[in-house]
Amino acid sequence: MEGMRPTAGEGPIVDPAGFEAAFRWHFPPVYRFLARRVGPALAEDLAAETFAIAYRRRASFQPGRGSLRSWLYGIANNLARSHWRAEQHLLALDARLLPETDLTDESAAADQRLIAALLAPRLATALGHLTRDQRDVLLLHAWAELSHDEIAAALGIAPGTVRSRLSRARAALREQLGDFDFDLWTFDGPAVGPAHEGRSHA
Amino acid sequence: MPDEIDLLRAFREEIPGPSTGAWTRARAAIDAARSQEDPPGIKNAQPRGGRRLLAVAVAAGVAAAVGALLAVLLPGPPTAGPGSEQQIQDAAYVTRVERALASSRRDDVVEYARTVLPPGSRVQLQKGDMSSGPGVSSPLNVAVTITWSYQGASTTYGFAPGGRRVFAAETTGAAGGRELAVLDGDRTWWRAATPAPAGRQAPQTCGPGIRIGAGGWPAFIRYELGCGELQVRHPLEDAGTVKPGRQRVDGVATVELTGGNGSMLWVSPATYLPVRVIVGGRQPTQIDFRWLAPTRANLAGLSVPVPAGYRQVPPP
Repeated sequence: MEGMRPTAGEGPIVDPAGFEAAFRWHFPPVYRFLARRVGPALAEDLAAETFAIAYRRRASFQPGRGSLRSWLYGIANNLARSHWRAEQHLLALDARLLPETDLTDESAAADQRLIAALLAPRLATALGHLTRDQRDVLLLHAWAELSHDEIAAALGIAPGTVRSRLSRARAALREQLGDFDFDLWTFDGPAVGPAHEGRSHA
Repeated sequence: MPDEIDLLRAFREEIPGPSTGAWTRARAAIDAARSQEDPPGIKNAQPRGGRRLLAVAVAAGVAAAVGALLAVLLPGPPTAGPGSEQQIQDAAYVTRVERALASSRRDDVVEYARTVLPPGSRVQLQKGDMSSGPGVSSPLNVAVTITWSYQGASTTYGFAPGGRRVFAAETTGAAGGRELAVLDGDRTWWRAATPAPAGRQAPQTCGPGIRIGAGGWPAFIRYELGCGELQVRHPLEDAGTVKPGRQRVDGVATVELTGGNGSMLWVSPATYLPVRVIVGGRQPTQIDFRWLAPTRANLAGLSVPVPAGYRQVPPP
């Protein structure tokens, strides 16, 4: 509806027109990023707060330090971090979901969505076990589709730190997925365990 | 070759983009942030509201101060057009009321709400929920309810058109808590554990409890008694604007906000907490609020004693 492509999606945001263009362009993906992390209800608040903060701090945004979207995702990510319990709770719910599909149909086996649904409890469990820092990097990479440099700018850390955290997070994810065969897109069965809700990390 | 990142990208991919309400909410937040910025040249010429209030209060007393505050807060005649000063003010009002309500839930405040239901209203009490209104199927004919809420606990008393008490229902308003209902008509009572929210879509800020306003009432607010929550988001979604005015409600100076469907909200100009709400169009429901200190007397309304001789029954 309002997600038209503005020409100034990455342009200056100090003036009202520039900020409006940036808002229209970046609000949907930022909202979805937050909704996937903390659920749609809370995401509505956090996405609104993200852009209210961005408006108040717009003069401090420096394009030379990173893209506008990485700056916005940095704000959104900080807000999501402050709702760690809500995020953990949502992951715990997903971890308890029973898979509703099986992969007996070979054509279905190639559908990443079906596989993801089948593996959702495992993915949720894996995400629930990551440290906050690892999860931030992983989800900014996978869901926000930020580059390593953009993640570094968003989080205010070195690109090398991004790479090491991402590497550890991916290894943890693969470990949780266990017997899933990435070559054949199959696995032996849904051996699902619940996530540990409320587990805290530094 | 696909990898775990591809799997992760498909995880929760079904979550849709922002709704109209989410867009509206974000725009209101941005407008509120914009309204908090001093326009160029104004900063030194006009003192901020609080400073003016203090000066006037010292000079002319509290009554004059309230008037002065209203003069600062209330904008001039409404002007049309998106992004206008009027819209910014409207959004600021909504945001302020929202913040006041959120703060009231954190602060040590007892909420008292007296609700006058439309004629012919009935209330249905059941485990985990209470619904009310003209279309509800229940033997409980109720004209007025009084609700006391404090820090997640809530108790509602229902009264028949003649003033006789019909029921009292107490809930802690959170999963793992308890509910107690006393039905005066047949002199029974029941107790139940508060059930856990069903599914991830359950409101996160509010446990299951007593809810009034559900069921499609054409309200511009959603009033969740179970968690002491009153959300003022709907006017912007439904009508696109609110119209600040001023009116005295029971002798109290208030700011009047008009929403969609003829719904109205009056808030205190000092605290922005609601004083009165009228919702429902042709069959209006009026809710009057008082925000009280947690004295022993004010907290007494939260406890429901079971009268002697009443019979315990299973919860419905």
